[in-house]
Amino acid sequence: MTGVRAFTATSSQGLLLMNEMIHWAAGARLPIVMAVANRAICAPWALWADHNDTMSVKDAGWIQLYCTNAQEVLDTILLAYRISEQTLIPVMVIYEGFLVSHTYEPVIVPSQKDADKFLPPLKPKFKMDPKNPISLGTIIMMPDYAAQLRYRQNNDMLTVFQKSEEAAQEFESAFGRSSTAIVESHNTKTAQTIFISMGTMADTAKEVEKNPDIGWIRIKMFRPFPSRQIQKIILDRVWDDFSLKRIIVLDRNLSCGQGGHLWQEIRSALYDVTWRCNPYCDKPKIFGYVAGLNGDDITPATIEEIIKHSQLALNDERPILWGKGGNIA
Amino acid sequence: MKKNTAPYLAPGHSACVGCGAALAMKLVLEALGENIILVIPACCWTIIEGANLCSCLPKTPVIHTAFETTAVVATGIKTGLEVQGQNEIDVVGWAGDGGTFDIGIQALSSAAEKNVDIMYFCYDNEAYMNTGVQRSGATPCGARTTTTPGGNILWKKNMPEIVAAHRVPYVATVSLAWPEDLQEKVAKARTIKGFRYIQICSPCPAGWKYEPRYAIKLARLAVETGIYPVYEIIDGKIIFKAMKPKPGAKLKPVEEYLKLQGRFRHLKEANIEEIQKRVVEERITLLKKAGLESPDFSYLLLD
Repeated sequence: MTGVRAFTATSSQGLLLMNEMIHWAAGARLPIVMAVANRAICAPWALWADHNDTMSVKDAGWIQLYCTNAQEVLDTILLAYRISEQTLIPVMVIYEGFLVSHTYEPVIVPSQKDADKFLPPLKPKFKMDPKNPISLGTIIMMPDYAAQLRYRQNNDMLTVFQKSEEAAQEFESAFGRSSTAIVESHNTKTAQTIFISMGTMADTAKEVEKNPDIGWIRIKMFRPFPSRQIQKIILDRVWDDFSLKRIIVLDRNLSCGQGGHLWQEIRSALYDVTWRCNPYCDKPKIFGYVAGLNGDDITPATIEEIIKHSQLALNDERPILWGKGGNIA
Repeated sequence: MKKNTAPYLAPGHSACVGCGAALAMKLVLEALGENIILVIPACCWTIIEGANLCSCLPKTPVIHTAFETTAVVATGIKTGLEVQGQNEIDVVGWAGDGGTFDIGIQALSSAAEKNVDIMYFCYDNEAYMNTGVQRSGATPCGARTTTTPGGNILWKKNMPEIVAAHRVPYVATVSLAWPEDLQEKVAKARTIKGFRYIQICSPCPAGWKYEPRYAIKLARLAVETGIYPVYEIIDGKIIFKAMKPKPGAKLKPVEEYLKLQGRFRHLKEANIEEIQKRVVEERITLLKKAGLESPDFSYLLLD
């Protein structure tokens, strides 16, 4: 608000406590970057990695970027400022508590010079300045005008995809290493099963990627949700061949009474696409698995078990709650 | 740059007739002068400043924020200015009593404890008036609000002394009936570095239920009856200055103050006696703290 960059960090209950200001910062169009270490929500007291905290603020109007490792967190923070200042939308840089936040990893720290070059001093269009007095956040009594402001916020959110791609390209030329902007995918062209997840679970899923029957998508950007990008990957498959049998979505969160958030978003994004399947073939089923709540470990073996389970499962209408020993629902 | 010749409080604000808060803002801004940034949380002033991209404060940059965040937003802005070397700009929080006594006390305490270099004004209209008169920690004993339909049974929270207990350099209470004193204290606070807290007794026609013409009269009676004492706390020491109590002088009976307001209309004689007794007790305690003990200090008045 005064023209300096702002950074903050939180987790779990702290994020929930300040829920009001999460929405406020987005509505006030403040380009804040916030690191969030995902931890389970109480009660009962819980500490470990769980996506429910950030999922509870997915609709607040922030960009949400889910990272898989320490290097990506560092790189994404630099990217986040770039995207945030161009769009005036605050960014959450999200990574799982303990799994990423409390583990040691070697990281490449960029030099101050390179970082300054990538992020030159901020020159905000609006700021608090007694020489040029303005009022920010005054009350709006005209409903249509208030709606317009919200629609504009939404439209600016939709420019984030392009801005992120550009920022990632500039990042690569500035620092000599690539950084994922939106989604990552591997082996989605021929696999019978496509496995979709976020955060460290996606990294773990890489381990089973050696199996040629398994494809893999990692969603880094959850808000705005990259429906188009995912549709494109799946559309390529259902358009010219019918070998894609199932899509498995693995969530480390649970919306009680509905299922995992990512599963809901993927089903919604692929609704149109599945209609374009050949009517004489089975549409790919979209299974929603919930696992790893409150830090329950997700290993490559867990993911293999889930894939095996899905091969026998018939019904994809309900989320499958996964625990030790399989489906525990 | 062209000099901004606009008044500090322009016509067209949306306060009620007889509102103390609007007058308080005018007096305070005039005393503060230019080079300030105002932080306003949820309170009457959210509305009074003007809706739909209009502002009645043409000379002052204003940031509106959420209810509990006045002190923390002011702290953030101050820090941002300090980082850029703009130390001459004073950041001023302007909150109601609900946003100060109740919901904002955590952020206020945090800023006061750290002695952040900001000014904090509380215009105290003694309830959540903007939302339709609900009891706050500032509501006086006996007052009827929508959440205390039988009258408030609790005594008003002693906020100035709570803030002073954080060892801040300057705390003051002021009354709209003594504008020179108010402006003098504000100007003095502006010259002090560190956390400064000023609480303004701010009559509210809608909540106190009085005729608009009595606003200033009530502000004066609140002080003269001893219900709303006006003093400074400088480095922890209570000081009476402009309205120094004199030995032997009598406080006015609280009834004079209470009977002008609809919010006290239900009080019975016994209730008023109880309030009178408690006001005198509080007065004795306060004067003791200020070192103004005298043989008949129990009924002291202003000069």
